Amino acid sequence: MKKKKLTGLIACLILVTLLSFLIGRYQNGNPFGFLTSNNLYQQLFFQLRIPRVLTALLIGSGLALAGLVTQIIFQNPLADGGLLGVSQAAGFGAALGILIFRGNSIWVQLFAFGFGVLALIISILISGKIRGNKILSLILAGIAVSAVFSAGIGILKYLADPIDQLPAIVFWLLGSLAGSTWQVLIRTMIIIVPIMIFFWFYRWRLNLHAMDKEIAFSLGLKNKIELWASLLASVLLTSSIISISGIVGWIGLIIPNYARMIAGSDTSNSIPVTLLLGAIFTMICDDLARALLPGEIPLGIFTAFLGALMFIGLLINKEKIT
Amino acid sequence: MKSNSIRFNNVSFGYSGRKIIIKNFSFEIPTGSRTALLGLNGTGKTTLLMLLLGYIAPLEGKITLLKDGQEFPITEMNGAVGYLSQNENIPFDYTMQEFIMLGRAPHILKFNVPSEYDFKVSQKIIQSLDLASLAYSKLGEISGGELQRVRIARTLAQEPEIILMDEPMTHLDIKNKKYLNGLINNLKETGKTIIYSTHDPLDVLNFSDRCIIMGKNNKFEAGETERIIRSKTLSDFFEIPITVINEKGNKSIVVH
Repeated sequence: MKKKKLTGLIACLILVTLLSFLIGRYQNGNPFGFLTSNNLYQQLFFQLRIPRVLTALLIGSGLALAGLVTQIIFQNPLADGGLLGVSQAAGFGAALGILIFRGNSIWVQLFAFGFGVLALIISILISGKIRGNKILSLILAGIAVSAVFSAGIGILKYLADPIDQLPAIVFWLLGSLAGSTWQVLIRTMIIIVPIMIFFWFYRWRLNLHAMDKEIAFSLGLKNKIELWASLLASVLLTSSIISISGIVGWIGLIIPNYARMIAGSDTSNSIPVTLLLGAIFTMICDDLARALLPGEIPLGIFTAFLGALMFIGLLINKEKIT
Repeated sequence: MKSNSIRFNNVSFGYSGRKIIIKNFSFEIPTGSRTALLGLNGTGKTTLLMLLLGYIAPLEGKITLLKDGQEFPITEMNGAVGYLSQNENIPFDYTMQEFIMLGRAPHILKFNVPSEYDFKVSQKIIQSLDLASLAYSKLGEISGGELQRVRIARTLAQEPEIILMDEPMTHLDIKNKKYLNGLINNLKETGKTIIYSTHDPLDVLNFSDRCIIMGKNNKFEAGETERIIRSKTLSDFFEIPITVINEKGNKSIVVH
């Protein structure tokens, strides 16, 4: 049964990927234009569309995985990868990058990534000063850090040149894969793929992080390094993805919940399904972003809209979110 | 051969900046015994269990395991000390089967998944605890008594030498309580050491070989149940007049 579901999802992933290659606005959306001798079309197809679709696949899997890991570590099915102020801080970093470097994409990405990691470090430092439950302290510190950076984003928007910089910041904050190229894809893979491989092999033991600390300790989870490594890996995943795509919300929250509905709560089953579903969902959203209207629509709008609808479906269909 | 035991050697503990909860505890718990920790709320029963688990370290003194003439810190017993907490937060809805399998963690490498052998071990435990009919049920669907049994099954899947239970009887009805007691007796026969906390002296009298009674101001006494569960000791530790009746299988505790 489980094998069947997994095979079905893999087939679905391949199908959606191939279809996404064919969807686009160029030449009235003729899907097989790249077969013609039109040079521009071929270039567009091989240099822009393919890397973009693959980037959507990769960041979708990554964001969903980061969400799942965060939910496990914080024992909370409604957590997501942006929980520790990572999203807002990365947004702040990107906005700052746009202001200072006039939209030079490498610097914007580096700033987004750097501030995302900085948010984690600040959250950890603050939580160390709070008495009581460590995990709860970390969440509280994260909320505070998140608020500070979102105020910071407000200031930067206010300061930005309304003709040229402000739209860039707003567009970035809404998330988009419009800037994807092979270079961006490879740069993303360097961080994301090793982390995915790590969690792939760690997929069963990750379950222990969802248990009460004393019980996990008794079961051999004695070393704090495992907890911090998992948490750091999920934050690296989130902030490196946000740094190239902007803030693409809801994937990390909603996809793991649907994955658990399909595959059950055991992370050795839910991780593969989370990776597949995240990729499929994000590619579909990005197809809509690219092709629905003559102009590009920010990706984050679709993930939020569809994600929220799926969330409502989840609430109605299940008495308990697991 | 020297008898094996868990040894508390002058152990003290208190959370930093707060008052000492356990002070100069020295006693031995023979392995293979059923030992009860008895005392009023707040006398440090759970703290003592946490020390045994190695989850917290003593401020002073040592807790060691004496085994076949060798003595080593209890913290070195990776996975060999099982722990059943009083309440457990289970945020995700595992099936019973998946949940019990988690008990195999100490036997599975970090970057690996359960093997066929792990599956067999957990199946055997599921059978022995009469849980087979629930194997694919979600934990959210079963009763409190069943959940307690499932959690015990997970602890047994761990194949621990020592099992710590924090007030395992507290939320159970009479039927489940009787079942648990039967189970504890069976485990004793397989040579496991069982240490559990309770605040009911009658449970201690009925179901344990040894007792550590804990009172206010770091007072404690340890020894065989018959020696500890006496009218004078109980009245002293519980601060109310108590009479213990224990003759020819007729056991009861009368609170005046």
